[in-house]
Amino acid sequence: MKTAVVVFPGSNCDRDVQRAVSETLKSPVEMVWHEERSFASEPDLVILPGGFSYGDYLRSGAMAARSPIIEAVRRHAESGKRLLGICNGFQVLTETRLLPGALLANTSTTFICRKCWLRVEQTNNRFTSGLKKGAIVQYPIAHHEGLFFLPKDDLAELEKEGRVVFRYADPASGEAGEKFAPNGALNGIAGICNKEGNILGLMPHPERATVSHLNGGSDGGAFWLSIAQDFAERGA
Amino acid sequence: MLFHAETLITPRAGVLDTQGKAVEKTLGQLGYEGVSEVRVGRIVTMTLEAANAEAAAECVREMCCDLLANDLIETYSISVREA
Repeated sequence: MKTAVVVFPGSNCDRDVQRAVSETLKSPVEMVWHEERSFASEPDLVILPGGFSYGDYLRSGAMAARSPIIEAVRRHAESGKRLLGICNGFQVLTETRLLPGALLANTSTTFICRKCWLRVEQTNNRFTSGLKKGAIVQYPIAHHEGLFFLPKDDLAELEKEGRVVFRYADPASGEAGEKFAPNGALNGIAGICNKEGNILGLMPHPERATVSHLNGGSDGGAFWLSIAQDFAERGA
Repeated sequence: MLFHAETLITPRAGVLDTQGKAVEKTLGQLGYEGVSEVRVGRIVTMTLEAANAEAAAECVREMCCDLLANDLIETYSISVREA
């Protein structure tokens, strides 16, 4: 499986995710500057990494969503291949409208950087098919705008379609929902996918929970392996 | 012709405005009573060339759709005057 990571000015998790993927999957990762208009490697997985693209000017992810590379990212996703947005990458995906919703400022008004726990809500997509539905995983968060917002009716539709992939949870009881969301995310939503299941956006950072000596935990490893396994079983 | 355009972008009604809430709380702490519904938005100003004021306003509206505002969470109003 070939992976490409898009680098925007202000991305700061690009090398973390490159290392997490290349070390876990022993597969090549192409780094692509946002001013490019195509990928050199015909990737199977494109990742929009975390960070503060364009200094979060205007709205988080707004400028990056209009970068020259985005048309190639859109074509990649429309062909059914995997597209993953982590943190700022998720914000970029909502700004491109490839995923619904918006990420608003945390209810705490503060930047939150800490470990958090998520319940795997869905496995019928191209990313979490190798994880166990209902399992609790720990990926850290680090954001100021992580409150997932969608108007009431659209939110109900998203839930009905089973497109909530990760929800903030309590590791002791296994319960998940809004009261466990450190950022106030509606319905405790941490990650969602598109209808086809080939585009996933999430606020927490699996790549920070992959290289275990970084103290972010090691649950992220299974996430990358799940993607690779799904790719091996289903192909593109 | 040259026009000045000013676009006021604010959070949509019903969309949580954390910044507005924080400002409202601080205003209360400063002793301002009876203040509610504080919303914090932003203003984008620019100079642009257009055939007339309507064309200038239409152009800025397109900019709002394309980049300046996110209509899922924000509303905007545009005012245009000759430069």
